Amino acid sequence: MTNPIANIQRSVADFRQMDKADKKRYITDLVLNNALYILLFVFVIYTAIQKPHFLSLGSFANLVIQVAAYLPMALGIAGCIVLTGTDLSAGRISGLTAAVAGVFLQKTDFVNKMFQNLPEVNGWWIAATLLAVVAIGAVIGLVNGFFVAKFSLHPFIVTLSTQLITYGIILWFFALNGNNGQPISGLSDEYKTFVNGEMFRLGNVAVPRYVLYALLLIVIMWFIWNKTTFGKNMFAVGSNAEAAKVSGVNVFWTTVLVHTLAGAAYGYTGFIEGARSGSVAPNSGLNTECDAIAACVIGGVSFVGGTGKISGIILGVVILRLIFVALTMLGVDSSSLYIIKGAIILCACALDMRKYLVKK
Amino acid sequence: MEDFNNNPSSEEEEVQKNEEQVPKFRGLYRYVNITVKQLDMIIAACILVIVIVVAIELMDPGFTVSFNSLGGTDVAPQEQMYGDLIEEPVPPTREGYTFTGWYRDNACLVPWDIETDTVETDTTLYAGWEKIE
Amino acid sequence: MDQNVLLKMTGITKTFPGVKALDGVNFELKAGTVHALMGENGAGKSTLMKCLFGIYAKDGGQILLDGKEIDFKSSKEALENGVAMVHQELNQALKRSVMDNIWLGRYPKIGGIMVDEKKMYKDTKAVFDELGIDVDPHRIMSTMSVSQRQMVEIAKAVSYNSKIIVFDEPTSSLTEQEVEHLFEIINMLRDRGVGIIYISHKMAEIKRISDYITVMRDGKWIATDHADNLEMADIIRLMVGRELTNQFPPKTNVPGDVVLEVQNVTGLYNQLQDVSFNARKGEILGLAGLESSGRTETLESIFGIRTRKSGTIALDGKPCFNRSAHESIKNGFSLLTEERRATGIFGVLDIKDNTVISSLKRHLRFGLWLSDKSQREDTQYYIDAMRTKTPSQDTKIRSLSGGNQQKVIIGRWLLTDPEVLLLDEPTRGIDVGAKYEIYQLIIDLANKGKTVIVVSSEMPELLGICDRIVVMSGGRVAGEVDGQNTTQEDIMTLAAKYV
Repeated sequence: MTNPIANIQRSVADFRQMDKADKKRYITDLVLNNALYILLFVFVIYTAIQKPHFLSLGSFANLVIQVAAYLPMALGIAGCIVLTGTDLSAGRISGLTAAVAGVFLQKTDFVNKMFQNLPEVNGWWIAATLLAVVAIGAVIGLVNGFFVAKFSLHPFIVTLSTQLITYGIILWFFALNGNNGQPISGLSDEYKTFVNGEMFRLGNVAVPRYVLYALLLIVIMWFIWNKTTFGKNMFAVGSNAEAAKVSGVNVFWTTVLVHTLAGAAYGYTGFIEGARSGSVAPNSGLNTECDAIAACVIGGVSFVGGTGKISGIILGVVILRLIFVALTMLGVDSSSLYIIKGAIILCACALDMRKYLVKK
Repeated sequence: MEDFNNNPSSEEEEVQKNEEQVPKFRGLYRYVNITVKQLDMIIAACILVIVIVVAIELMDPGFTVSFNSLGGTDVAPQEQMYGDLIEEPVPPTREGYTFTGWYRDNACLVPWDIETDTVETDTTLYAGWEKIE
Repeated sequence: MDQNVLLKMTGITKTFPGVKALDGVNFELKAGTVHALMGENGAGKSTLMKCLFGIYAKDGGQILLDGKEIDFKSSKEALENGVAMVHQELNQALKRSVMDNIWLGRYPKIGGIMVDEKKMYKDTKAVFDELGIDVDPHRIMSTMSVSQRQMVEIAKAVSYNSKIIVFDEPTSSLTEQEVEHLFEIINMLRDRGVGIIYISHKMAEIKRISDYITVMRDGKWIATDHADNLEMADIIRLMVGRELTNQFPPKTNVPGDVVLEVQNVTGLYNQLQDVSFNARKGEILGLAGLESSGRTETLESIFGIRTRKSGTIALDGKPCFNRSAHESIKNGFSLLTEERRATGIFGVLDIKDNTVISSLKRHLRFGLWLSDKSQREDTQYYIDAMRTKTPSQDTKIRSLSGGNQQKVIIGRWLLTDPEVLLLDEPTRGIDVGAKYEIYQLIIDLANKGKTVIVVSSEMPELLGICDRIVVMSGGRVAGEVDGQNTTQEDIMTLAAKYV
């Protein structure tokens, strides 16, 4: 089990013993089960041949940065998927929190500032804003969780409605103080530095601070998932809610907390996203939950519930980003990327189910 | 009773047999009724869609950078590859205004630096205008 | 005995990766007989039937139906050729009417488009009359009991003019009377020349109903004989491959003082009415009764996962409110539920997680994180103590056998250090050998001074291990009998008291 080389040797030995039909089936299975990896491999090789600088250190740094930006939302949404649910409101929640963070942290002397009487942006004010947006995300998550847990409503329904409600709130917010739906820009340099500030350079690409924050978040989430009572309860509820109830797990609070935690993760995503993109429009964060869900499914957080690992989620995000980075470099435009994303999600779900189907 | 199943294969066999009895799916897939063959076809179809879309895109690679002159004279769009700088177009003109440069957003708040900003996806740039007093 | 052979299966072989599930199995079914197929869980009975119905493709061997070789691709094809199966878990369109279910996929039509409802009704009624089933063909399936739905399934098989009907554990959720009715129907079908394959774990039933018995073990054919020639002990010996001298371990526990008092428990959403009884320290108390007599409801009401309208529960003289499972566990109660797969195990989680889930507090360090080491120690302790057969702690529980899963769940409860163990059908779906181990475990627990309350549908089991048996009927306590000097008839009389 522990020695991968011995494992491969054994598989090869097994393979030699099979007859022709079995060999054919074995290879078909192998190809299909790893379809996404093979596809990824092909894209990467092709891109590397076409664009040699794809294999450079800078390109690697670029990938790491992208992963760090997309990971927090995936980490949040994964909890909901473990509970056999999902969360469609993630993107809008991050959009709202990005807008709130942006407004709170606009340049003091900016002409189009939405709220004039905010305190000067310093370390404390940034920390307070971060806490506030995380709290906003958490509260919306709490609402999601409450309806899911209390009335056993399917998360699809609940989060679809919170998605729309949150969008309504975003539009209201953008209309405040005669802003009239204009994007929020003129973000203060302190805020941008706090998120985007260069830590070091990797092959000409500046690695921003939020890569470090993402690492920190991974550690926190890993701890919560694996080392806390809450984490164990989450997997128990996801695996079999009835059995969890009988076993003395508080299913209600576990469900509520999972969604709240997810909401907090989206709140944090919004905070990072605001500074990353430099300005926040009403449509910021739209559909980003699709990327997060796809990453989770690719990474083995199965829709059957109760399974998934933090390492899997990271792998899922890396794979998805790698595909998109490669395709973007090849000059595939973003409208096609949506089609590809859709196909990847369906494909990942089919692969997921395939693993669980009994072989005839 | 402990040697009830003492032959080595029976353990494995028990494991196998019980796998069979477990219902097919749980969670979100609870009502899914599908065979491996159908799944294989879905996977193959998805891969095919991805490959076709990529192939179509690769026949005409690159990103379109279009220019919205917001009331000024028209500027022709450009085709650029990922990571390229855009070629500086002839500045548009508009009566009663002076051109202040290209911006990423409609409200002309985030400027596009012709010297350093590179194309990352399909982009529309907006012309900035200042009224001549 | 020159009944003609309906079905002949010879040398059936089926291999799953790494396992030989069927190894050259022979089976022969004669017209107008009931042929019981017996074996422990995993002996290959279900796999054999799945090969017959084309759910699995067999690797080798031959199946002859009426002398012609067949190889069905699906159970639909089998049905059209007169081979039907009445499943353990009924597969029906619950929102549709009875006759819709029977004629599904082959509705009689007028002019090729309109469904001929009248003919459907008439034909359904005719089949029902023939079988003595009293059900309105217009009734919606979901409003009927499991037994009635099973009858519909049988009627459907008959309506296809089936020559062979397979019953897979048909009585597992039926009451005694319903079983009687089922047996009448089976006898009637036999008299009409239908060949019946009967799969069941219940020895008494098999002895009563079957003409022939075939025993399988480890995917191999072991023996086939006339039912009259086989005694129960013989069957068990053939099934487990060794002599089982005693079905129950010796009772060594000695009941002490009364610790648990349940008084006037009445359910809010169920039929429980004034249920009162008490249990002693170190006692094994049985709860007997027919299906839906309120046994399970009683346990679940005590444990707090069903709402009580009134009534009190006291442990050691101290009142316990037990409003939720969490609270009950804190008060020293534990409940092994009836439906192991639905409410017991966490299928996709490993043995360790399944074991420690109810006692996570024990492993909490500084109120912050869970110690992996102590979780592993506890899990290992109970794997060793109960001789759970598992490759490792990290094995997913769903890949264990029923008996071993049950041991893991009992271990989960023992870790919460309970005073009172409520066990609901602790041996359901577990093979004979593992049952003995579970009985031993129950007696050991009583020896340690725990109070054990056992609910079981199998009366011999209750009589074998319980000190006292409380009999329930129609949601009420019908009486209490001694575990040693009581017969099944006494219990049955009490169980029918309020029906």
